[in-house]
Amino acid sequence: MTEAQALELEATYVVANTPEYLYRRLRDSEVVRRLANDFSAELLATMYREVLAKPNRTASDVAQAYAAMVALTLRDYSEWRPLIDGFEITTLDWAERIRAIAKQRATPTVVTSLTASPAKIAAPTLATASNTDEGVAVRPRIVITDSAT
Amino acid sequence: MITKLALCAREVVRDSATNQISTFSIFEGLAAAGFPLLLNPFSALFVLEREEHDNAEVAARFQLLLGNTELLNGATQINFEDKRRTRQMIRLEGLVIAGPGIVTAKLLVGDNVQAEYSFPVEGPAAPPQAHMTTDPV
Repeated sequence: MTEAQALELEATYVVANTPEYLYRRLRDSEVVRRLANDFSAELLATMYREVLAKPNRTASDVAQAYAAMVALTLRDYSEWRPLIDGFEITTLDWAERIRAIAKQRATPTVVTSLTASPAKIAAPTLATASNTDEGVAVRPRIVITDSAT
Repeated sequence: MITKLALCAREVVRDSATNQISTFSIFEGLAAAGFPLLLNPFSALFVLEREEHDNAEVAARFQLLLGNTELLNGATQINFEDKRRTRQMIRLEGLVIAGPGIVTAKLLVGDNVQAEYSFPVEGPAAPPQAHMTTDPV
């Protein structure tokens, strides 16, 4: 994390007057979104624990711990639920409340990527009008009728 | 298990900051200029609600049909975690539709169809016959 990013998180933390406000501001923070995208859930959990383990925590350390926690909650629920349940939350005043807000808002989302096998794709039916070489091309027909004959 | 929503669209995305789902270009019905027709990307979304007797995790299958022809059949997992509602997002990197028909996306739990969404794909209309009439000479 760069110094500018740490300062931004600290500024968000020091002006926050409720856990709800801090959660909302961190959730919308570009720094936090980047943390969520760039690091795995396990790394964010480790970051949270390492910051909390510091003997003389500064406001910036506390802000970074909250940022790691909120960044974790931006990932998939199935990833962060077991990790966040194991967090030490007694040493951070708002950690329990922020965890509760995040869990309340969460809805699990399962994303499955599948590939359609080309072998299963049926060949075009010949009765179908088609503009490919394999199908039967249906061309416009002009019928000229001479009503006099 | 109750199905709250089932749809197919070009894109289904989850905003990580708000945890809300957005869909782009829902497939209501397609008029193809020709075949084969490539739908890339292709996504399906199912929103499910858990009932009291339902397990938190349920094995499921996603099946895609064109008429009676199976285009795809793949395994997925329904996972409610500790919540009442869950979402299943299926993503395909390209789906080829070989001809006109009804495309049906099904989420199956065992042999039961849990959720289903269909949309028609129509081919190019046969050009109208032009009639030219000349006056008697």
